[in-house]
Amino acid sequence: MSDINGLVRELVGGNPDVMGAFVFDADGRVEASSGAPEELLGAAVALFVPMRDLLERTAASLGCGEMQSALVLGATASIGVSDVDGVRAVAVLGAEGAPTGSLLQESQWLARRLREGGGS
Amino acid sequence: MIDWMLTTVGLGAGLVGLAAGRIWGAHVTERRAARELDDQRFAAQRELAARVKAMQHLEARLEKLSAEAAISLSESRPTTPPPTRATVRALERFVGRLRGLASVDEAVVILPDGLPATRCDDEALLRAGALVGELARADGALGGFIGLSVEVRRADPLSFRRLPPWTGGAWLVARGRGGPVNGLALDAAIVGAYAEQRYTTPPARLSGATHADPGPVAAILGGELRDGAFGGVALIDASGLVACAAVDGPDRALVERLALDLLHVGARAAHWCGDVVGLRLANALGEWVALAPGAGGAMVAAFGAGHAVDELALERIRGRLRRRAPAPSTQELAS
Repeated sequence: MSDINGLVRELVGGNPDVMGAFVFDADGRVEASSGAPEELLGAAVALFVPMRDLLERTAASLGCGEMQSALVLGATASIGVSDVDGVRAVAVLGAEGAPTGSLLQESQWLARRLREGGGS
Repeated sequence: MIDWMLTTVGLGAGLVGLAAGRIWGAHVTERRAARELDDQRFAAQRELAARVKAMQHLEARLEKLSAEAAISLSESRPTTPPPTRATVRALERFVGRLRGLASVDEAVVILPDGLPATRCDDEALLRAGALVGELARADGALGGFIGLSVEVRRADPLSFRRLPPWTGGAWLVARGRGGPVNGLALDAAIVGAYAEQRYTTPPARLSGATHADPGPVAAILGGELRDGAFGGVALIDASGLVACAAVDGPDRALVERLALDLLHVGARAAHWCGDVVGLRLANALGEWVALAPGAGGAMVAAFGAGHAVDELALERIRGRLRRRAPAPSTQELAS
């Protein structure tokens, strides 16, 4: 069974388009991270926790069901977020010009691996 | 005596008159016949003139009809321009037709950013589709890729094809059923995808190439080149280019660059698709292929000389390299 930090490192190391990745929970605790600078990590988690709550409520209210993934497309960089188990979530930070599909796929891959028991 | 003379003169005059009458009659008959002949000739000429006129009239009418037909044909052409954007309905129809092909297991249209544009529940295929994002980006730096075929260990082969411009640069990703997708069927379905592909950047040399003992290996590669099986062949190990040979078509620098492109795409394909055992990349120069030769983890990159790579020649090269190399490792294409 892979270590959660190992999985995150594997993701970041395996894709040059990924600048960093981290796993966080609903309380804002970071379970694992790789590539993301400490100061960025703190700010990202502080923003992602309420954003995830808002997106989940929005998805449920609009009849989308449970939110599985979200993409933040920026002019210079993008971020893919995927839910793991309703408590934990994965965020993948893309380097400049990274294809958004790859960020979404990578975040979903890591979330799936964590759901399947990897990194526990 | 006088009576006898008068009788003779009268008889003579009668005979002369009779002869003159006959001559006159013959003359009249001849003139009548000539007149009738002239009449017939004039009638024939009139008829001919009438027919010529009728024919000219028919020709003029035919020309007019042809012109009208041409106009109506051009008017009957669809006035609706081809789609300028990839509507989901059009793409779904397109993918639906492909799913009907016997050699296609599943297909999906992937947008240039790697996101799916059509319905697909196949996670492996969607993940493979993320490679499109990298292909589309590599396209600008590495040249006009128009097709990619990936042989994956423990799964059916994948085919990638760039779709026509109206799709906004989308790619089709299809997985074969029990074998590779029928390339001809795919190409037939994607008419126009091969247009306007050309290299826009100057060739770049491989960095970090070791060129370790290229002589004997180059001799092996060059043998097949002389046979015209390839336009260029390169041998690459984990450290870079070991040997490279090319014929008149693509020069050595271009072959080096293609080998580098192939390595790059191969490594990314391995990331998204799984263990890659074979790779074909189609570009404007023809079709080229890289396969792990089983010679210490090195790979052979072979380039078609304006045609598809000769598989048998490639196998021969791999066999020769295998016999020369130590026991093969299990190194994958992604290194």
